[in-house]
Amino acid sequence: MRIRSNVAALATPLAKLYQHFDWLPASGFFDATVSVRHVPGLRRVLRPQVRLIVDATIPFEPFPAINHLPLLEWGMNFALAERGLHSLLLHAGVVERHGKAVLLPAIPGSGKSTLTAALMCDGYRLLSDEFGVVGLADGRLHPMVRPVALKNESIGVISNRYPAGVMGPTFDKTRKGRVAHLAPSLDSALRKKETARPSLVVFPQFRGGAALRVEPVDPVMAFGKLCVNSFNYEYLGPRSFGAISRLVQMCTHWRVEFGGLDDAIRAMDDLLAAAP
Amino acid sequence: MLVYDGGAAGMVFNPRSWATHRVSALILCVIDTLRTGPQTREQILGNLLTLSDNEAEIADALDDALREMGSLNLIVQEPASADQGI
Repeated sequence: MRIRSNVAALATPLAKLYQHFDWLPASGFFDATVSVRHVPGLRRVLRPQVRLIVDATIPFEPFPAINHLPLLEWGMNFALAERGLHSLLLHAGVVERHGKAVLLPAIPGSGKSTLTAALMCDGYRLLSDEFGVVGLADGRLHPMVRPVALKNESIGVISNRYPAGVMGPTFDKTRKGRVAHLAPSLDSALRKKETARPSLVVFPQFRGGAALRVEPVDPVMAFGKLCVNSFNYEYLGPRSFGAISRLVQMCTHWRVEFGGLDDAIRAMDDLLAAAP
Repeated sequence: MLVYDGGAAGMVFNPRSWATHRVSALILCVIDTLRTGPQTREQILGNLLTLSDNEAEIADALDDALREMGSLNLIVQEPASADQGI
């Protein structure tokens, strides 16, 4: 993916968050070109705004210029979700350890990104905090390594718990509230092309103060939840069905309700150790 | 038709509608029975009776299953005749 921008303030956080990634020459083939550009005219002085351009399309209304990085990251998500038609795309965090990958499909507010970030900081390899990319041919999970987008209270939770984590600036007033990004670990970035075998599907649910609850999810129920969770299930039709069938057969499936990260990480360690 | 058999229930993908449905174990059995070609209700029932001795109970459940499959466009009922079926 090629990034272009005339917003100077974007350069420093981008370089920090993608510090472990190679910079490719600007020429050559890219799946998409995502640009964040100042909206021209008098507005640039009075109320500066930035606009996202994905190749030749403008998918969103302009944003306040101060929110350049969240807009760029959402724009990349948009481009990937719209064009990633060669794989089944699930809305999920994905991490891996000892060759076994954990898929964390979830709706917004479930604690998916927070748990994904915590697992990465605890030594798991990050494949993605947003996209579970399931190969249609091999059933393996393909990495889409990018910074983890943390929102609101999660920012403090992760930065306090893992002070060594590389955190970008906090953007206070985005349409999703406060947003900050956590850079992928060095190991995650270096292994950004290494696929992983899915072993565990965990549907996380954060509930403040709740005691840890780990329950098995019936495979057919897991199948249905994964269908609903997919960005492109209907587009791929029978190929999606085949991919989810295989995924369900390869994994054990659980619902983990947690009120704190210590409990959740311990549960994930135990579930993964017991997974095939 | 693509089927995921989860034992107590399953999922089917209807290639005509591209819709995916959660279905009961009985519907999975009916789909399995129909893989060889169209059958009458009685032929399907005959196959299912190998699973249970309670004919009345199975017959009622089969009628419910056939109604549900019809509503999901998983089966089409042909006009009644001696050699035609579902």
